[in-house]
Amino acid sequence: MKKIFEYIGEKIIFLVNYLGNLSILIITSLKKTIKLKKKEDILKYIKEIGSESMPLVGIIALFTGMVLVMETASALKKFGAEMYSGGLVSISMIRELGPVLIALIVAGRVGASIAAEIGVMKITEQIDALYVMAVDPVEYLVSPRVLAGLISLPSLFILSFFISIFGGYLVGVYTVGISSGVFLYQSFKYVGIKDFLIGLLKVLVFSIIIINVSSYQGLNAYGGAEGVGRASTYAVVSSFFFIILANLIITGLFYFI
Amino acid sequence: MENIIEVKNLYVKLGNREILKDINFEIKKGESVVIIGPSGCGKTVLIKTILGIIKPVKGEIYIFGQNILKLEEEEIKKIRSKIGMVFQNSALFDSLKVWENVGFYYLYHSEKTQSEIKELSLAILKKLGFDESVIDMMPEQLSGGMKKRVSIARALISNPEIIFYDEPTTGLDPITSESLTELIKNIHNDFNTTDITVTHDVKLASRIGKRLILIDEGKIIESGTYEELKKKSNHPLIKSYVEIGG
Repeated sequence: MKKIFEYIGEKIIFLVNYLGNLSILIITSLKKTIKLKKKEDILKYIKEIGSESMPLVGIIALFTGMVLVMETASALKKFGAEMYSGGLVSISMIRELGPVLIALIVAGRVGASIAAEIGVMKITEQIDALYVMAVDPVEYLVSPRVLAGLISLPSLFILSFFISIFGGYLVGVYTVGISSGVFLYQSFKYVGIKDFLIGLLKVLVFSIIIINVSSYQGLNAYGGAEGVGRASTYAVVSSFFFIILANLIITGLFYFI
Repeated sequence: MENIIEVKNLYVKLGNREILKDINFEIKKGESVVIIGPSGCGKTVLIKTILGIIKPVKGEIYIFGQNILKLEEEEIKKIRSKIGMVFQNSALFDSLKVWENVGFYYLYHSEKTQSEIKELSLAILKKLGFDESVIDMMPEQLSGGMKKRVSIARALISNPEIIFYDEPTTGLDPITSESLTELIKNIHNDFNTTDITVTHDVKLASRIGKRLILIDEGKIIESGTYEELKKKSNHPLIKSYVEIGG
């Protein structure tokens, strides 16, 4: 019985420690993002986080838009309301699916690589070398990535929105038979500035989560190659969890307010 | 001569393991001190604690007369800018070229142009026996001995007053190890640095250390010149080290 309590206690302490340290990292990295000393690496990170994610985000957004129209148009057709499928694609992509899909793609693709890169630096004492040279690893490694994420993810979000509408358009107009003008009119009719801002807020929060959770895992990696692998896995899994949780909280906030 | 480093009553724990217990010593300006002991006895943890990378449970660490455990991060950074460190595995930045590694301190902390920093890096690399061809190489293209020398160049570029060497000859062949030992001695004389070397290599310790601090199981068991330690060789660990060192 004592061992069970010890085990539970250990897990609680670990969780509190993890959440506390992660919160400190998020606050510190955001503070240092504002006063960033060296900005040369930001373009490199925008390429890594944004540009290189673009093909994957584009394809997934295209297919998602197509699938949404396929699924909804057949149901709406029964009521003669298939023309509204365009609106359904745009609303769901701008408020829900778009931000979450992009965040999950970036977390899987970039989160693991950030954790691995920083993790290798940790176990090969490169992080210690930064300390000795009076360089703050958070300022040098995390904050530029946070800034790059804050630029890249909203760009991917806007791009994915238009691509998904295009995907829906292809199916809606050429397969379901909705007229081109009606589909486009319906697609943009129901999307307001509030919907866009909610979507934007979500991707900004998700980008902060992905970069910080992945960097945290890298900065705390230990135990050689195995440790780096473990850090990468935890980076992706934890990012997924926090993205879904943050999405629930933000959606809930706007649902009840 | 004034104390440049002073460690008082230092205790360090990693997780639940007590790594260092009641460590007390001081190092004077211009000294070359070797911290020697078997693998896993806490030598590297000791220098990382002195540098403020690992936080101790208890104790005081004075560098240039200031207790670094009571300083703000920005003040610690100022102290670190007068310190160089050569890591056990060199710890060169994989994604940067040799000259960027060497000139990293200036790339990050100064307004100097890239070409000025490249010149500075080349000058220090030449002092350590490199030619121009090495500056645009990546760390992965260098041998173990070359990496160590580049790491020394990186430590030297900011004109540090103190240099820490962590196991500088580990993993090197005897000839490279010999030339590196000579290099460390020459740097100490030419740059007037205070050197703290951590090693388990007795031969290296006897050649570069004017004073040796022997650590075992996280405790200092003896300190003095190599000759003094030889006289106290009734301690089994000292005896075995003296036997190896000759």
